[in-house]
Amino acid sequence: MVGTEIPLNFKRETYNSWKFLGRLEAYFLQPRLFWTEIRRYGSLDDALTWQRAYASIRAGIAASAMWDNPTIIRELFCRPDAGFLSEYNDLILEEYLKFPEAMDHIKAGLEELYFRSDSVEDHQAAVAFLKRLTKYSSDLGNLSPSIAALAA
Amino acid sequence: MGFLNWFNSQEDNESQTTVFGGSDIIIDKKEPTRTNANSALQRTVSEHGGTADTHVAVNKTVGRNMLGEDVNQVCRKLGVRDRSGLPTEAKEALQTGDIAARHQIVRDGAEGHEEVVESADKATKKARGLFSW
Repeated sequence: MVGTEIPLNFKRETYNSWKFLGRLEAYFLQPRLFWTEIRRYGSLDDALTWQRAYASIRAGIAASAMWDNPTIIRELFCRPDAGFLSEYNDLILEEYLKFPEAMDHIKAGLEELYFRSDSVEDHQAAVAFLKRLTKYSSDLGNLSPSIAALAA
Repeated sequence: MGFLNWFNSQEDNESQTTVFGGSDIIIDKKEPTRTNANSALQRTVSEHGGTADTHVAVNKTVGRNMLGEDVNQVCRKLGVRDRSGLPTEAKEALQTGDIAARHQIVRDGAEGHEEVVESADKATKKARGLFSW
């Protein structure tokens, strides 16, 4: 992927996301630190570097939001509204799962959506998300059997 | 305007009154819960032109204003996994905040990220004053 043109608006979106995360966490950010941050993910000319950086920053935002568990699934992974957010949604999910508490939140959210919500939309969202999840995590064995059965 | 006036002015209720001959109205009376309040707030944010970031910012603002510190921090310090593990008083404050924010967004007719977050901030700063911390 080296040499692939990286769209300017993707860089800008990555920058805005980084700034947004900084505000959420009440960090004092100097704009030049942005480049240091991106370099942690690889060469600045490599499109993969930017994708990794964007996904990881977005996952950080999700973790920082501290939503109610069902909301994490609904807002972040079932109906991402912005272009890049849905384009790189799988990558963001992968990064999000690296947070130690992520799987617990997702499990609790799935159970709430499936068993405690009376909306059909929520049930469908839970099943669809669970199917997606099986691709990314081997940790599904810890899910309660009744939930795990939905994925079958 | 009292609640009854407002309630009768809602279109949904009126049509139900006619269908059931005015005597046997179907009323949505599910008990409010913290998660329902949060879902309702997120829905309102979407309806008022909020983006993905608006959902995050509103949630963060409500938490920080109602508890006086970041919800993540509070969970970590108390050793609980998520909001569901918080003490009842904290949950009540968050639920109050979610409800206040939702009403303020609607009342202000907030539209788009900045306005929606501002309404949520305004509402929860007011509501926070009722709590003893």
